[in-house]
Amino acid sequence: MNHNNSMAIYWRRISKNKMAAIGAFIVLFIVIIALLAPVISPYEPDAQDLYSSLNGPSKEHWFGTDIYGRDILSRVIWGARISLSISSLAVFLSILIGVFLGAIAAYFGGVLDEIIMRFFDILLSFPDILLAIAIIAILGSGRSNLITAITIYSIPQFARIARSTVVSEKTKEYVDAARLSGESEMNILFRYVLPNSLSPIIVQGTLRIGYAILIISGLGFLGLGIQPPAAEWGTDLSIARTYLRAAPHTGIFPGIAIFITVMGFNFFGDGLNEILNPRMKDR
Amino acid sequence: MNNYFIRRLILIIPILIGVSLISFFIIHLIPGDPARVIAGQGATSEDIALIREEFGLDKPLTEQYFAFVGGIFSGKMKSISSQQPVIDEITPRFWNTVQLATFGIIVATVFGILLGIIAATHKNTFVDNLSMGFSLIGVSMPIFWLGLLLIMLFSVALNWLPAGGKDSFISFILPGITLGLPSAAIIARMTRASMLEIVNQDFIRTAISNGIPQKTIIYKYTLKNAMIPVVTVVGLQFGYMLGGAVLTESVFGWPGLGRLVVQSIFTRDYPIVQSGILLIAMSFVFVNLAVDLLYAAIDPRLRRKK
Amino acid sequence: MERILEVKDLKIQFDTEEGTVYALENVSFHLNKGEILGIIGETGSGKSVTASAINRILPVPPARIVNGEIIFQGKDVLQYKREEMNRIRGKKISMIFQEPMTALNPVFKIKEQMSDVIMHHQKINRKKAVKQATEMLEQVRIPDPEMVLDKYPHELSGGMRQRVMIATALSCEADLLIADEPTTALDVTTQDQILALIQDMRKNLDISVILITHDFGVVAEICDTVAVMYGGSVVEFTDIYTLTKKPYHPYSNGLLKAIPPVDQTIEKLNTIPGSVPNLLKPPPGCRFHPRCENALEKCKIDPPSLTEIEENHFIACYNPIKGGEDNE
Repeated sequence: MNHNNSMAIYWRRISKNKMAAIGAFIVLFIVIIALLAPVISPYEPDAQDLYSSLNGPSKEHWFGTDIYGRDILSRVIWGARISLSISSLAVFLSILIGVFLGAIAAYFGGVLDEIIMRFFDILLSFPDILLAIAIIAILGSGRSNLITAITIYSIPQFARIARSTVVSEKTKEYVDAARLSGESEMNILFRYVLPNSLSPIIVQGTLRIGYAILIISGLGFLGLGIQPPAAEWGTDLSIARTYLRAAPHTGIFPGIAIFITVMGFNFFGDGLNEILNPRMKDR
Repeated sequence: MNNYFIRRLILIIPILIGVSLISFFIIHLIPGDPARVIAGQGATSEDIALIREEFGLDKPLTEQYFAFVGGIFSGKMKSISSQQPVIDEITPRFWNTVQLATFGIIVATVFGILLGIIAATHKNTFVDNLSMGFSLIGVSMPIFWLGLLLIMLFSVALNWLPAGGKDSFISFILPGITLGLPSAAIIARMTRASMLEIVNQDFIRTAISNGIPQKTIIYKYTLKNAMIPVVTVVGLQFGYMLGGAVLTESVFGWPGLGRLVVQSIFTRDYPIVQSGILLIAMSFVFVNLAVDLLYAAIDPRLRRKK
Repeated sequence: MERILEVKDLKIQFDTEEGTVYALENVSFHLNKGEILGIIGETGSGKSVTASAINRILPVPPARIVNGEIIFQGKDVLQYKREEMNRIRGKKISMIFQEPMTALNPVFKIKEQMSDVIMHHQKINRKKAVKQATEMLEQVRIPDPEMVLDKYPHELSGGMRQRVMIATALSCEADLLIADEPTTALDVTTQDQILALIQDMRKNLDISVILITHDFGVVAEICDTVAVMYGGSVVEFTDIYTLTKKPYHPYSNGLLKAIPPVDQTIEKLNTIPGSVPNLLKPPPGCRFHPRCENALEKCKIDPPSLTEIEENHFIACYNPIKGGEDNE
């Protein structure tokens, strides 16, 4: 298969992959909203107006107001900022740390490999949100602790990807060739071997951002995440829970925001996966 | 079989030690003097000294660790707020969580496998897209919001089902569905992918060329093979539910262990937090062990000759 | 001679992401009752697609049968409905495959897999079916059938698994056995045993056999007639004696020359220059012309059709080797 031909197939796959396109569109949309939050949000997210508490959707407040009379639309818009910035920063950090640890574990092998990977096995023995809860129990709530918790929570995933790539690549001929031509071990590892894990890391990174957003909002809902009055979707839903009967709209819009954002990242990640690693034998 | 069993059992020992070490260190990793943190704001220096002694915080770490692990099971370790042995506090709560997770996994498995089979047998049709669309929604849904929506619909608007508590079987329905649906979505995707993978295998071609009817091929030859990875996913999901139930428990006011742990973080009842987290993680490890053994039971290739 | 199978002008294409694969074109041959027909060709020559088409196990789509007939016992199998086909497969036409490792279902015992087939076709109960399976395993010379029946596939050797495959395929007295490279994955000794077994089964059970292979030695050993395939077409079809003595088609000739003689040392093995065509973009005209020493201008434009130039000797070539080359 020549190069032109494979590029054509690649493009056909992207255009055929509606999921990836929808996902990319949603992610882009949410990113723009987050970036433009100060410009587009109609009110200050924490401006209280106790005279218009728990009002339903109206011309003035498209999504209505919460118990403190704050504009829910503005809080949803600013919430995108918090969710996106924390999740992407945490996933970025966990890629750096996880890939580094996984790569040196696999490349140097032996005891180092055993220690690092066993440690990750132990971290992965805390199911779902529990590891994040344990870390918050230690560090306390707050933005930087939340970032730490989500980062630690995501590290093992990326370490495993990097490790499996390095294990399968390190015995290949080009590595020996590089070594013979006098490249340093670190250079070989990071410049020749690791780039092979780029596409699974991109896919996993995209999916993990979506997952991190779920965890951030979950912790917020439990009161262990971003503390009020900051506009965070999960925290706002936890307040809304008390007023479900009187003002159901307060419990709807932040949830839709989480749902759509996470779905965007899931679609985009799954679509990327199909584009980058198509299953050839899918008949 | 015996060999495999023993090897697998030995493998979990370091994991259990590691998990208990992490739970033990929770209190020591808190920035600052742990005794002061536990005592809370406005505590006198006598209070702090008392706590330091009660928790053995002045003793060597190894001694503290063994006291911690032994203390949980012997009942010596007590909850700070209730002064009851933590083991008595967490066991009934844990039982409630297990009940909820069991109900949840039944919902997830039944819905998930059915949906997966329907999607796989109608590959690339409207039915397939619909069920996979549902499953994509399922994995993107924040579980606590799903719970809130179900409460709004079935408790507030229709007044059919209770919004919370654990009184009778009826109380299980909403939290069980909430906990089960996201996992159902994952199980459905796995079932579909696995079925489609198996259908392309050589032995299915053999069965077709031997004239075996399509129904038998799908529901017997394909399904049993396809279930092997699905069993793993079901087991993992059950394990995740033990930890992830905390959100569902919180939405529905379910008296489970996860919720107790979160409440205890707020009251700085660290013995409960530590032992609760340890218990959930340990049960997750054992669930995984059980899944691996079940795996061997389904896949004869993994069994050792007797 | 009674014709059990006749394939006429079969043309099959696959619709794939990369484009249309022109898999089969101009495929014709026939098989007399009780004979063994060898279909020989390189990887990608279309021999396995042909076999799967006869048994109708090609996945449709992506496969598309553009044209042709497959007359089996007087009826075109391409016209059968799915349920009708399920009564033919395993009962009238059976098939065994190259990979005995993966061709048996890993999670069921041999007993269950064999008796499922027998029960389906003969409508008898499990117990009788198992008994019949035991007898069938004896037929294929498995020493301890009861023990083998109680095993899972992974507990058996490759040769044993292939015997089980053959026993299953023939358990319902099939009239036609299609064997798709049945010996390729096996070691040499086992290969011979399996070939001998196929020959015996042909005699004892009165079946006809299509043997698909890339190994001329196998064809020469047990086949009565041979169809040579190249690039998705049958290029020569005749009996084994004629083909080895007097091949007309330049490709068949090249294929024969490429066999190393057993009894003499030679300087250099003959090979056919060039490589098999990409069936996404097959060459126009005769698909062999880019590699053919005898190619004419006409060969590059117009594909030759398979014609009978002597009695029971068919070739698809405008410029065959004159009078056949002597291969003594």
